[in-house]
Amino acid sequence: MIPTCGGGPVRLANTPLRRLAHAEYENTVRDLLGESPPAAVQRFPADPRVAGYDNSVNIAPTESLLEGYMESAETLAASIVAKLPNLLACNPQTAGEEACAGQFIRDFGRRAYRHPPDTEETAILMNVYRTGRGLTGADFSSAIRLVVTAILQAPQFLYRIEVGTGAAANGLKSLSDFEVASRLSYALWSTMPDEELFAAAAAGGLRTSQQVAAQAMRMLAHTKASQGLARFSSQWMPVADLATTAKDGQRFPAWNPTVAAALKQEMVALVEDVVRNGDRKFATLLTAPYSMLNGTLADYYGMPGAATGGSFRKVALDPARHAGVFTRAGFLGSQSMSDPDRPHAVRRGVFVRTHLLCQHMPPPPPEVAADFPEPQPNETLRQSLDRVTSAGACAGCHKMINPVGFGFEHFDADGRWRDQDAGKPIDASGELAGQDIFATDADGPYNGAAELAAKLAGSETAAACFARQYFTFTQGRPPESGDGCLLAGVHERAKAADYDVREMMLALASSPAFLQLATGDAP
Amino acid sequence: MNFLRWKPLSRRTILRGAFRGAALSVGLPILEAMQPRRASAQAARPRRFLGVFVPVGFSSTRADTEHTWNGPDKWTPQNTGKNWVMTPLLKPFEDVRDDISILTNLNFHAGGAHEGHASVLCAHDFIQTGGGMHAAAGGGRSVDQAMADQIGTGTKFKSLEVGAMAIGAYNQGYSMMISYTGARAGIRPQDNPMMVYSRLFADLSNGAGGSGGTQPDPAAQRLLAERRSVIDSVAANLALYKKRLGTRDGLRLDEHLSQIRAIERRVMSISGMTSGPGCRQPAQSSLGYRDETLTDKIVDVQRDFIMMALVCDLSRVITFVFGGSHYTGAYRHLPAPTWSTWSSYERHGMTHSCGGGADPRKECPVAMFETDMYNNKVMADFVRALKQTADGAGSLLDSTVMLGMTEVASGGGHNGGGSIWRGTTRTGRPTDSAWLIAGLPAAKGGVFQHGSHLRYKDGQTDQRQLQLALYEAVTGQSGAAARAWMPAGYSAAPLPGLRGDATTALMDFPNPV
Repeated sequence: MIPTCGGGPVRLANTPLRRLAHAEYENTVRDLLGESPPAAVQRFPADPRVAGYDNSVNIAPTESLLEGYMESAETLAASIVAKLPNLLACNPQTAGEEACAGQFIRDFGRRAYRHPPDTEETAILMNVYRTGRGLTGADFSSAIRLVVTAILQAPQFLYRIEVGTGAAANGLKSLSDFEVASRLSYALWSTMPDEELFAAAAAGGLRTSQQVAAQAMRMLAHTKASQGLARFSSQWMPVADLATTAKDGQRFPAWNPTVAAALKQEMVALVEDVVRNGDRKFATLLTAPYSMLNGTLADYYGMPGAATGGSFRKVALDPARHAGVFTRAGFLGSQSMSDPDRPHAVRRGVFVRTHLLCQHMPPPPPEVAADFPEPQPNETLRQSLDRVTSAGACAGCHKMINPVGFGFEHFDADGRWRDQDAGKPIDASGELAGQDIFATDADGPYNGAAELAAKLAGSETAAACFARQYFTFTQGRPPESGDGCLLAGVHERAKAADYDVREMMLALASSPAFLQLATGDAP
Repeated sequence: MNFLRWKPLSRRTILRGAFRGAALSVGLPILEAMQPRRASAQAARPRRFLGVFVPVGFSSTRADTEHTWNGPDKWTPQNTGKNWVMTPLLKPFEDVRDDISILTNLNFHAGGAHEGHASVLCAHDFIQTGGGMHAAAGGGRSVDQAMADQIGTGTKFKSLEVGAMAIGAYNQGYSMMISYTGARAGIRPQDNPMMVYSRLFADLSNGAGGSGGTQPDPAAQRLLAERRSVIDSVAANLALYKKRLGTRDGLRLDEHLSQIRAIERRVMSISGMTSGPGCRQPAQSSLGYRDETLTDKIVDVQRDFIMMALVCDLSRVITFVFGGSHYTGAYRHLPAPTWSTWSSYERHGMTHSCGGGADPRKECPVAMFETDMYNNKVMADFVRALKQTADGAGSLLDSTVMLGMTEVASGGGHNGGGSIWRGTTRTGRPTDSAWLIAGLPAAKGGVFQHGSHLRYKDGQTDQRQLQLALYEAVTGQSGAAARAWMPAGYSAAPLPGLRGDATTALMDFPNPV
């Protein structure tokens, strides 16, 4: 659906307090301490994926998670004691221990809390310092270690707290300079601000859309934008968990964890190449006649020699068969059954509807089995699916789902090209068709995934959906009605730039709504 | 049983510190564990709860066979009461049949084909988190957590959540979580034995071989003081921002605070080793917890750890989640020939291949039956372990209520329980569910009468009443106080029949249609 505004205010709907997603936590730890995230991070209870993304606002803290934070904080704090001289701007012997601790809390606290600690926050940390210093056997560095342990478990570090400044008007407050900096860095980099961004915040240089746009432009050109984009692209095209997707070893002996990991990298690299090195167009994501392969994948795709070794390079593909993200084995392999391994036209069709067109597909109604049909002898999967779903309560939805998924029939459960199913030639003809809310500007017949991709590449609905997906990723929730005018503005700007992905990202990040905080508790 | 691996607990290993104010005193030589083993009259043992979850039901198609026993339902026994006839799937319980109660035809309130994990222990309706199938989260505090509020505050761990191969279906975060501290706040079970060991038992060996003096371990004492200081600062920061933020975000900070307090209570008082005979430090485990060929060994080790945690009174509320059905390959320890037609080893997939809507009478693959049998062995081994583990003058089974559960009665097509029929079977009957309870027998000072197959009348009772009945048995509470954790206004009685009480809620089976 195309977002519309109707003249209302451009604002972000009220969003609950968000804690750092684990990926953000890990990136932040790296940037803050120069340390790899400790093993404890692997034991954090996994962030559930909500609406496809791992950063849902609706996740409550649990004891096991906080215990993980404690373990991680203790490990990290111990590991930085050795580097303390580099972290300290003062010498405790000459400056005095208390004064030097205060200096450390100001400096390190500002980076960890992502704002300068105020009087009360400083007092809490000084208290930790003094307690730690007073323990038997303690010294200055052990007390600083304790301060770091406390900081890494503080809500100011673990959450992205936004209080705003000044009084609310029309349910909106201005974000503080440092809150804007955090919004930017987590939206674009999936990590904390760098020194330049902090400096801009400290100088009051993030108050206008122009100022924020300039920062966002700088940030999108920075190498850190890659990690933010990779996190988005690997969840948009659901390859993030590919490493744990197993296949029937007898039917797909080539599929293994190394290949699965490489397929995830391929998807990330392809999106990166289009958005950061290429023409940046949404359409190109869907139609690029090339991909990024390494030696493992060149072999996997049956193109030995097209790439060698571990690094990825651009490899041209047959445009009649392949187009952009859709025909990559990572995506196709993620949307298949594993029991037994068969390509899953239903899952693929539903994915296109929900993730590419942002349509809500209702779950199967009561009285309908979620079973996958057992093909009868000499029956292709396509035939057996049609046989089972073309009648009764199933037909209503499946006539919108199956013909979309059938476009991918040339791709087996491991995502590789095939010419036959059950000994018969593949029929990859399909149709995008729907009524009312399911109708789109891409509707019509096509043959094969490349043609489907081309249709979606020219669709305003699909381009608007891409922006919605990106919004969901950055905001930790799908858009709500209160976000309508913001989304409409982003869409207009992206449309004017022929759906340039960077324009879309900039439009969202530099929207006036990005500088404001909706107050009051949303329903 | 691997109890030969236990080694005696050394003296001087236990820090006992009253939290806040009281000085730490360490190495109290009061543990009977440190004394020569002796048979002594024990005070009444504390009551405990152990929940054992196996996923995706059993290869039966009860929703279609209805009242006929001759169908493919391999779980439901013929005859009710003590004279139930052994079924293929209940075979693993043969030697403990007098110690268990088999509950069938209990309605599964707010089940759902792929959401039942969020309702086995939760009385609140589940919440769809929007992450697709298997992504439902519990809608409120689960019964085990509510029990822990009552009986768990004096032990080192208020509750323990342990598992094996507890990986979410299709990587959905919630599907391996049955315990919830509140709405959406699922607790992921720890399925790495190495981590369970270090959390539960590692600190018991600190200073092993020491003189057993009365001097506190300075390093341990300092760590406690440090953690206390950090937790104080976290609480102060939370209070600071609670003032600055709105109500909703303040509630989240409150939840954070309450979880931090739970950790605090635990890390501050490394005590609770009040149990006597049998408390031993187990051997560490180095099993690769994702090694698919070791599934059975991982389950065995985790069960041993759980038993010792109960014996040592480290916790009185424990849940165990065997997550194998959603993990491709988790049954690879079973003999390979079984799997010839199902080389992907994924049980969840198998359950979708039979008994469903397209062909309800289609039998499940033999391989699925094999995995059913393993799932039931997991539950039966827990019953046996409880029964065989000495606890005071008796066994753990005397004082522990064990609940064996699965989220769908019939895995085939996911019928029954959390049913694809969502509320009623195709023939209009209410959803079914499969439960086992064991332990806390009346004959040993408990309350339950075991050995029977209890067949509940169609649609009259549901699992929330079972949860309530177990809650009352474990906590000793009743009336309104016992329902504080349940949805507001919930008023149904605790499930009748478990205590041998006369009830009209039960029926015969098979019975005339």
